Amino acid sequence: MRLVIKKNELLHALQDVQRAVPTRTTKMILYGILLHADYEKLEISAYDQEIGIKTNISSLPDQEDNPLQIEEPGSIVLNAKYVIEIVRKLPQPLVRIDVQDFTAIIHSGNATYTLNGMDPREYPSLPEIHEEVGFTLQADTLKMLIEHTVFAVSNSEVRPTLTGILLKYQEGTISFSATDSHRLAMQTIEVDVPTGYEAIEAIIPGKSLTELAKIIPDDDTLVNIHITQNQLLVSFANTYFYSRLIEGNYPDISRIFPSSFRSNLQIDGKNLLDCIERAALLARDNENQVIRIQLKPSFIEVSSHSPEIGKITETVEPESFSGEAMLIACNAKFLIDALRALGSATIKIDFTGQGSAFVLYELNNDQHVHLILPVRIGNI
Amino acid sequence: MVDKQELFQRVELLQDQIGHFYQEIGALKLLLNELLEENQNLMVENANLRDRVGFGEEEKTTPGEAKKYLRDLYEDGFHICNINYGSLRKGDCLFCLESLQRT
Repeated sequence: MRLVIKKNELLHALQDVQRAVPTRTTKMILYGILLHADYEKLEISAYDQEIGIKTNISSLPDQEDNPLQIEEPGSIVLNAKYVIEIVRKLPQPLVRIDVQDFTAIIHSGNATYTLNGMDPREYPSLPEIHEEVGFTLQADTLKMLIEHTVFAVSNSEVRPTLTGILLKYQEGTISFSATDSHRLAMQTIEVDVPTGYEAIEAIIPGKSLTELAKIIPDDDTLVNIHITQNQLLVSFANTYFYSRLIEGNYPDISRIFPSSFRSNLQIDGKNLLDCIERAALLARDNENQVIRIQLKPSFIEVSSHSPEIGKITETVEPESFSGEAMLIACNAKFLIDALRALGSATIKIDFTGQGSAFVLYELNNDQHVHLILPVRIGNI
Repeated sequence: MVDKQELFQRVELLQDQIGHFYQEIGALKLLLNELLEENQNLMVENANLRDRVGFGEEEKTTPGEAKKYLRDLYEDGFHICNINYGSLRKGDCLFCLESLQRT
C-alpha cells in the first residue's frame, strides 16, 4: 500500500473509527485499526465484535482538491492509540504512508515514523448486512432520540435487556424507550417516509448509541438505519456504524404508565431544574440522592437534608396546580436527567401518589415522556 | 532441534488459548456469583416463608393469599416482576409495582 493523504481527513476518520477500539481486550489485533486501500478509496475500520465503525475516504483524481492519491492498493492494521497520536502531531498537511509487509512508514515534512503493524488477514471482518430494507432519519433527529433516552438505561448487566434502548417502529412512528426499572424515558417521532419494515422491535445496546451520537453530525444529513435479526447498521455520508443487538424480550412498558392522576402541575422547566440542582447538592451523599418535594396549591417546596452536612429548603411557584396536596420524595438525579432532556419550555407533571410513578412531559407534547418512581418516605 | 518458527507459532497459539481460557474463567466466575447470590436469596426467602407458614404445616393457598405472599416478598426486599424475579431489590421497581397492581 502506498498513498498520500491529507492529514485532517485521515485524522477525522481515525478519530471516528477509534470509538470501536476496545480499551481492554485479550486479542491484541483488536487494539488496531484496519486501513485498506483499493484504487478508488481508502477504507478505515475498527471492530471490537460489539461495535464496528467503517469510514471511506474517496480518491477524486479529477478534482483540484483531491484528499487522497493512491499509488498502490494494500492493507495493514496499525495500533489505534499510536497512529492517532502520530497523525495528530504530524508537521505538514499532507501525509505519505508506505506499507511494506506489516510495517508502515509515515512521512510528513521532515518527520518519518516507522510503525510496526499487524497482519490485516487476522482482523475480524465486519458483519454483512443487506441494505435493501431500512428507514431514513435526519442526523439531528436520531441524535435527539438517543439523547432524550439513553441516560435511563440500566447499568447493571444482571438484566441485559434493560442495558439497551428499545427501538420500535410501528404505523408511521418510531419510538426509543429506556428504563432501569426505577425510571423510564421515551421519545416518539412521526415518520412519513415509506419503509421496508412492517413493524419492528430491536434492543440496541445503550453504549453503542452513546458512541453513535458522538460521531453523527449535528445537522440534517440523512442517516440510513437497517436492522436485521442481530445487527444494526447506521450509515451516513461515508461512514458505516455497526452494532450488535441485545437478544431477549424487552419487558412490556405500556402497562407501567399510570392511567389516572391525583395531582397535576405545570411549571417552567428551567426554574424547576435550577431549583432541583440546588437541592441535589446536599443529597449527593445519601444512597438514593433523595430530595423531597412538597406539593401545595400555592407553591412547591423542594428540600433535602444530609445529617452531617446540613439542609436546604427552596420554594418555586408553579404556573398552575390542580388536585391534592402531596409530599413526594425522589432521586434527584433521575429528576435532573429528565428535566435536562425536556429543556426549558413549560412542562407538565402528573402525580399519582407517594408510592407510584409520576410522569413528566412537555406541555402539549406527549411524544417526549419521562416516568419516575418516587422513593417511599418511610425509607428515608 | 525444534523449528524456531514453529515454536513461536506454538507459543502464539498457547497465548490465544490462554486468552480464551481467561475469558471462560471470567464468564464462569460471573455465573458462580449469580448462583451464589441466588442461593443466598433463596435461603433467606425459604426461611422467611417457613417462618410465615409455620414449619411442617400444610400449605393452602387461595388467590388472595398468593397476592399477599407476593406483596410480602416484595416488602421483604425482593423483586417479584418477571424480569428479575427473586433477586434482591434496591429501591422500588416499576415492573414489580405494575405486577402487584395487576394481580
